[in-house]
Amino acid sequence: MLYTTQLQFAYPGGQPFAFPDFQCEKGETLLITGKSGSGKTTLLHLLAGILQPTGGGVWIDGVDLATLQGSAIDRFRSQQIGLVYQKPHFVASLSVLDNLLLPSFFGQKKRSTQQLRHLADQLGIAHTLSKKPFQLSLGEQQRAGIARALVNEPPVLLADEPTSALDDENGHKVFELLQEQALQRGASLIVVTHDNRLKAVVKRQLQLH
Amino acid sequence: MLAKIIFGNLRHKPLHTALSVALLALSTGIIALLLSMQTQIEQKMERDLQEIDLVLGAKGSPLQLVLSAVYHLDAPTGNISMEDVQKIKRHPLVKQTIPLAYGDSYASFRIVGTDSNYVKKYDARLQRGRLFATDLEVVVGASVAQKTGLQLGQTFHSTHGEAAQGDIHEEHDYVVVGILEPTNTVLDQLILCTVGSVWTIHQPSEAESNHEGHDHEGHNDEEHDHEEHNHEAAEQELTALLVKFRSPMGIMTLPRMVNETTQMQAAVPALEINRLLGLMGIGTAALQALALAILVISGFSVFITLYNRLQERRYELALLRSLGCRKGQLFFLMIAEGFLLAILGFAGGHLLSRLGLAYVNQSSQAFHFAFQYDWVPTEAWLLLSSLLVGTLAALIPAWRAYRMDVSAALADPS
Repeated sequence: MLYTTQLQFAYPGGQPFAFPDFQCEKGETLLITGKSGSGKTTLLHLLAGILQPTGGGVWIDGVDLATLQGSAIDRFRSQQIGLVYQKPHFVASLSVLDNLLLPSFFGQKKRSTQQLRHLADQLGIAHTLSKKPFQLSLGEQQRAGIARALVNEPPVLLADEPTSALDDENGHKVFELLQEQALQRGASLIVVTHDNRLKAVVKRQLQLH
Repeated sequence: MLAKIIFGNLRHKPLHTALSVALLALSTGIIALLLSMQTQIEQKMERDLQEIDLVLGAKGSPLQLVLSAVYHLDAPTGNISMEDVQKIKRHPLVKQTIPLAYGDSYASFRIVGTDSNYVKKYDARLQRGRLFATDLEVVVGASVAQKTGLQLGQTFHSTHGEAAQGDIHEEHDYVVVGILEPTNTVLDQLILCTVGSVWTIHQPSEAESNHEGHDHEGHNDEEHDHEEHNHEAAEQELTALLVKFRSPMGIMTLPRMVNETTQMQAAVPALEINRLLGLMGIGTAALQALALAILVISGFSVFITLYNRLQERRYELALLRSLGCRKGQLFFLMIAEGFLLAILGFAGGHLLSRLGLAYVNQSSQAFHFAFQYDWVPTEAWLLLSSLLVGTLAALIPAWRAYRMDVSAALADPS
């Protein structure tokens, strides 16, 4: 589903990163761990096409990301990849519902308010849709962030430290929810984290050095 | 959706938005007010001029004569004798002359003795009633009727001079026989009657006429402190004569002839008004420069607002990019915000300038001229330049948003 080959990246004037090859099948969860500075977030941005690798490549659904130029990569990302962040930021001036509509607008995938309500219902945030993001609790924000990643039903879900800002209970809930939603949709889930709590629950792990 | 983001963002920081809009509104407002007033004054001057080639009056300041006889804004320079007037009337180059005799007023509106050609010159139509036919009948201008409430058939006494507290000529009653439709010219502000009426009013009573020059009771009292001409009007004089030539040759020869061979002076209104507008132009140019400076500063304020917001919204904008927003769309978002601020500012400025006109209309009754609130063509340039300022101010923030390093912005959720 998603795989990398001899992926390399170097920030201007910085140490080059070389990442081990890996793949992630549909419905599979892959945990990528490593200490700070090991290039976890860099790897995630490479997988999402936000950064362009200096060597090697990323294939998603048989598409080499390097072949996508300009706005094509933006379109591809919005349709094929759902991103979940450590602290789910939103467009502060828009309601939660409008924030959930953003991916469908930019990905040009029509989503009815009804579909979004259904999704919000599944994630337990139906009551927050008309609120502004800052009015939500941290747990609700994280779930809204997951909902936003799922709006376009992407085959790949990438999560950057999705649980490290949450306490044990909430962290556990959020991760379960993420895994459950990915499994339901047959999506590949790649989680980048240094959260040791997750290491205990995920089988496939990749350690970065 | 993009519109939602734009409007949402402008609403999100209302004070930032308000400051930018207020500054833009202030500068465009001042400029719009100046443009509107200048254009309207010039148009009004132009309209009132109506092919009056030459104004004849007593010697004095030519500008005063023109302001007094054409625009009825200034005091008269004095009187001219019928004898001199006849000389001009008979001159072969003169096509038409209109006599003007004034000096009295009612409710500070000028009463002007003239003939029907004066009304025809401005294409004025009667709203009600008829033109004056005999002495002491008057036709009132539209504004006069509106402000004084004078009705057909109503009578009134005139006041000597222009001041509201002048002596009142109580011996004679004027009677309103007609009301003019609005002409948007000086006629709106005048009360018109025959030249004979003015003479009649100032006819000294028999007893007084024998003691001319002495101190009297009643209306002759003013002799030493008011303009003499009114008193002398009793001797069948005019205050001014409006002249139209048969050919442009007249303008070459007649002024010289008048100035050299008569007691009158000849003033060319077009020339005098150009001089006056030129003088006024210096003042408005200075004010316009000031307003332009404010416009530039407000453009700068829009820039700072957008730029600061860009720093604050870095993560948010990166987020949009990660959700599939294209670079160009982000650029458009930022430009659109500047554009929208400019439109709001211009709209505010337009409103402000109209409030300004209303205030001027309210406070300067003495000017006897109501500014219209219509759109002045030059304001289109103002709209263009304010949109340009807004767009330019947004250009650098928009460019920075376009070039943003999405990865770095996302990795630094400050």
